Amino acid sequence: MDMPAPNAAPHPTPAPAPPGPGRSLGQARTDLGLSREDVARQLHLKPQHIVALEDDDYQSLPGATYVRGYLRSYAQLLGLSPEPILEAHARMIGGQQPAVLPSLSPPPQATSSHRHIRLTTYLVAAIVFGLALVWWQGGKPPPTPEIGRLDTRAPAPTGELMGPPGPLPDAAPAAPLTSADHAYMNTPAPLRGADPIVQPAAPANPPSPAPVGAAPVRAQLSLYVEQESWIEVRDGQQNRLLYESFPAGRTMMLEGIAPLYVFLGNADGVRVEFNGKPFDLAPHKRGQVARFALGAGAPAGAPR
Amino acid sequence: MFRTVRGYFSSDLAIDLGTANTLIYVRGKGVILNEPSVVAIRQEFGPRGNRTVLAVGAEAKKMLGRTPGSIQAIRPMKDGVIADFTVTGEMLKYFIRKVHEKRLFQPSPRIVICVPCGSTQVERRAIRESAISAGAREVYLIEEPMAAAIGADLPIAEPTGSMVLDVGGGTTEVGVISLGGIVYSHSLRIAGDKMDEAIINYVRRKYGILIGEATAERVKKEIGTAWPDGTLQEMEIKGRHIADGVPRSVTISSKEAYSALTECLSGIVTAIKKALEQTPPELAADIAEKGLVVAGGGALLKHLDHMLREETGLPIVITDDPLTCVVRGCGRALEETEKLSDVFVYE
Repeated sequence: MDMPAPNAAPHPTPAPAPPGPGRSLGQARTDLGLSREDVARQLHLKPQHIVALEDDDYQSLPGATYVRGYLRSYAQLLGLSPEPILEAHARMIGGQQPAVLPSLSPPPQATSSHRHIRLTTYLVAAIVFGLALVWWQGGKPPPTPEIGRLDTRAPAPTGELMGPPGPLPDAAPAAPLTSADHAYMNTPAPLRGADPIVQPAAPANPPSPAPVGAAPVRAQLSLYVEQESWIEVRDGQQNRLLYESFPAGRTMMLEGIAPLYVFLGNADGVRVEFNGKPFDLAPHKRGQVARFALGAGAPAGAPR
Repeated sequence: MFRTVRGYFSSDLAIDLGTANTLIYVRGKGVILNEPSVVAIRQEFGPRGNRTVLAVGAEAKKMLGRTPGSIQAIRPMKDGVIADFTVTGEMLKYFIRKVHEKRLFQPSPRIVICVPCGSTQVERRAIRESAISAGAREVYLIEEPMAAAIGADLPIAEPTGSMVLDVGGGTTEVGVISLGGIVYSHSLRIAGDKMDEAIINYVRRKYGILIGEATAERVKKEIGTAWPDGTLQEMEIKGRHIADGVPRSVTISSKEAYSALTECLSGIVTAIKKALEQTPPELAADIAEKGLVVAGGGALLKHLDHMLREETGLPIVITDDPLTCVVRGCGRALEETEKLSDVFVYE
């Protein structure tokens, strides 16, 4: 490692600043026999400005743009080429070329050619692609549960429980469907001809224990839809047995714990049989709709 | 929202949409486009013939005055403002795409465009709409004297008067600027184009020869002078003789070119004197001490500074690279949009 010589100057003297254009301008002016006042008069500048230009004293002059303009005019007046003068000026003030945008260091602007932007683009594209894939997969219908299939090979022991195609929205999972036996058929075939249909996705819930107290009274209800109608049926435990609109020509046979609470949206279009006997809706009709209860425990006036 | 996303893939631009030349400054890169504001359009035959852009810029300029019936070489800017809205939009779109080569998306940049200070609201709106139709995300307008002052690096924000003269292609702008605002500005429609016209008229009157704009421009650039300096330059030009109808050549001298340009130049001097009359005395004193800064392509006319110095009595300062001074000013306004937000005009 080189050590500085002990007698070496600790701070070398700075290199002398490159000569400015002032000296050559002054020399050319004297060669032409012009005084500073002559030049000032011709350039319409103050004589002090000419002195400052020849002394390379730019502090007393207006901004850099003006100084370069004065130097250019002065050089042209003396028949010199302005470029070497301006270069000498630029060298003197620190080698800075005419500052087009001084003190400007433009913040780099992100463009698509930058690596991080490109990576971000690929990342966003991958996320979009992934989301599109998930959406496409999610858009496929789920595997169809085997519901609604009727099998007439063996008679149903009691003809009970045929769930509607979808799970009933508010059916309680523990108690409801098995205790509230009901049939739900598309054909007018008698209920006993149909097998119970069990949803494979959800194994049949174990039958809930019978309610404490008296044994529940079961009631049978047949509904023949002749005109499209909204039908709602609840059993004695407030389990919803039916709750939807049925088209004309449908027949429903239900069995549930009495009393059965029935609401018909189009009472004229539905014929009702309770325990095998026709039921007269006329007393219960209010306008288009009918609301009534059937079976033991029903309010007075209802058939038992 | 998609424009914003596209904006990330675009470089912000400053555009000097001039009558003669369009210059584009790209943020962080500098002036990268300088092309004539000329568009060549092909009109297809038939009643439903489409108009398609054949060439733009330097290539189209070569076609000026040399086109067959099916092609029109148009200068969509006239007197500093839009003369043909659709064609200007197409030209801008072409230039914007040209400075965005090899980009993934269609560019949607922020654009700063300079407008003549004498332009009307309608003309400014036309320029703004034209830039938006060319794909700009945001458009900022800046008056030309202000852009020239910023481009010349004048102390615009200080409490001292600076006077700028921008001799462009279609308009000449005079502005007095102090404390970041324009104290006085005036725009006159005497500039490079009018000088070309003056040369055409002179040659026709004196020699009975009709010359084209391109030839007149060549005369102006090569031997045109604003002050007779004793030297004599000559140049041979060719044109069509009005009486004979045959091409003839004639030699024109710089003295004749000076005679042709005198009227235009005196118009510019009158505008400067008028501006000095209207300037508050304190600012006029500043200007008298520092001088008048000249920018624009017209500043390249030989001895213009000498003529202005003699006629106005002011020190004259020609900026470095006067052709790009205005667009550099626009570019700096673009770089420092937040700091220089006051310099933009909002119709």
